[in-house]
Amino acid sequence: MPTMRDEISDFWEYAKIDDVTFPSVLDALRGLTEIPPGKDDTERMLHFVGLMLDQGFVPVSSPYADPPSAPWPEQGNAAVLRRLRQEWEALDHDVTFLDLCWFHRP
Amino acid sequence: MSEKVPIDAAGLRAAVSDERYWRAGHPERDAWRAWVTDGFQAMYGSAARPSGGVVYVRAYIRNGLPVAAHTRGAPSSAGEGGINDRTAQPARGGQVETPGPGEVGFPGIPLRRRNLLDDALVEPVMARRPEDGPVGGRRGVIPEGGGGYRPPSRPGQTPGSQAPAISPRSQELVDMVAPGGQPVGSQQGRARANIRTLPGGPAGAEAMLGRLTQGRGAVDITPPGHLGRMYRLDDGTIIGYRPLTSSGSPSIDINIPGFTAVKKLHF
Repeated sequence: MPTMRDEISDFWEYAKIDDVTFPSVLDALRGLTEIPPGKDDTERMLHFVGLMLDQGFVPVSSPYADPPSAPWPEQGNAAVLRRLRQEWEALDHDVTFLDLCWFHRP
Repeated sequence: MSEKVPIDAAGLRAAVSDERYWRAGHPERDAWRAWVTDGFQAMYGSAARPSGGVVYVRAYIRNGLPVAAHTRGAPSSAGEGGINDRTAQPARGGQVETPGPGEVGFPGIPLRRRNLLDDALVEPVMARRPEDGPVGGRRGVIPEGGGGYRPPSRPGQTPGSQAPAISPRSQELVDMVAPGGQPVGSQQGRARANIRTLPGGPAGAEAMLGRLTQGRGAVDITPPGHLGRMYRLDDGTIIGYRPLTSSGSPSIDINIPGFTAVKKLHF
């Protein structure tokens, strides 16, 4: 069973082939051997995404969006995580590959 | 006017394509979706009759008493339509047929299933998944004030509560991408297990896309300017095709409601 470091390392390697979807991030969270810090699920998810951003991932729009795979304009991790929280909490359905963002390895 | 309105798979697929089914905020959406769900349940659910046909019965008066509108299986008789717009054959002589090798399908209506890659008959290795059963021991994405996730109850353990049920209609797609419960293709490099790689390149991707969308009421929802294609199927599945990924190869993104074991196919 992987740690957060393992999962992010795998994502970084996989991102040479394709961007990482948000549902994949949730899959990774479910399989962790460690529980990310945070007082609720949303904070734990955001903590994990914060580590991905630290690794160098860039949040981009879905490749099905118009324009496709466009980098989010938010500058800095705090702004990205703030937008993620807002979109996450506004979702009224299970996350699909069209929701939130994808993560691109520059 | 007849009190019975015949329903078949094509009619239900058309109903799914109607904006009353998918447009959020439409005043008739709830009633329309409930009607479509009842239709699919009558046609494909455990109570479906071997005849495969279903009818929508309008409200009427019987023996002086009102009978509410409802959907029910159609009587079995030659010439009636319904599910047989597929390759299925109805049961003969009132006997329920037992599917043989390479045959799966609804009760009494065996369907031949073929390998997506080489079109060879597939030997079934497991029974159809129960409609309300768990899926691979995993749960779906559980909203927590949104599209959230729930962590394992303790480190290293997947939450034990039930996953969302997969509809019989979606199960047909599941059987295509994970026949016998085994995801197609292989897990390459450090990709997640639900990201599969298949041979065939662009031609293989096109063939798979055709098989996943054919006869499933696919509505083209490709965004303007997108180089690939995107479809919404009649069970709510979303299929996205991208001719190019970072690696230069094509990919198909798959979102089958309640199913997480295959999310993406690379070719």
